Amino acid sequence: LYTTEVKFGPLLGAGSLIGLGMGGFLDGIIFHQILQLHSMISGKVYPDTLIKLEFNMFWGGVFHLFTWFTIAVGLGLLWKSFLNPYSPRSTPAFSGSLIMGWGLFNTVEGTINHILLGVHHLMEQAPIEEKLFWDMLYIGIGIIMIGIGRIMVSRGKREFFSEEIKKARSRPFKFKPAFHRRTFPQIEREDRIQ
Amino acid sequence: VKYIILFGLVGFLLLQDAFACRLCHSPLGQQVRMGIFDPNFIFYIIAVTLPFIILGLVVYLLYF
Repeated sequence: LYTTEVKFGPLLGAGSLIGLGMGGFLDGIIFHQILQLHSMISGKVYPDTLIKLEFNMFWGGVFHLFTWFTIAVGLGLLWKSFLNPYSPRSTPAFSGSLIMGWGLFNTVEGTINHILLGVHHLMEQAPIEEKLFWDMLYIGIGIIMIGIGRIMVSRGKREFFSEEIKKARSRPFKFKPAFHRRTFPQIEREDRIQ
Repeated sequence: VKYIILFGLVGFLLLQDAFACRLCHSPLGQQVRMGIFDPNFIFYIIAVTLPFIILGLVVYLLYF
């Protein structure tokens, strides 16, 4: 009964959005700005003049703006999940969701922007066949990260429930585990009234 | 508070050349603007925002 009350969704959703935004920022900072492998619209307007470079910089800015909003929404959801007594605190599950969000960003952004729309490629100066290879590698790394994230989330869930079951077994006369009492004693009171 | 606003406004008017956005006022900026607001503007804005819309939907459907 207790296991059905715990909801991992809000924590994992918030973690995924934050991971997604962090992946977006790393893409922008490392690939666009430090290494300058590509720019936001470099597949359509290659930045070989100052005007074209500034044009790409503008769209890079729009991309970073949306990345910032993603992180802001993720932080809001994380706070909401923190206030929710039925949302568990699990470090491996949260870390896994961050990695999963990052992997999701690489996969979806790589598929839409690199392959389908072709607005930019990972290695913009490479020959066309090599461009596809690097784009597929980028998407492949994203899929591997989703897998690693999922494994970490499952491990986190398993650890959380096994710990809670252990705690519940150590208190044979009290049905509910100590999770609620430790964090939000008022909930137990409400339960008792019902 | 009103003096802060007043001095702020005067300061802004005196220093607006320093704050002026290069993209808005310089001849180079004008060319960049023409590039941004060209017929492909809708395509570019969709290209930049589409991954975020899809990712937001994926996360929402998975966890909420």
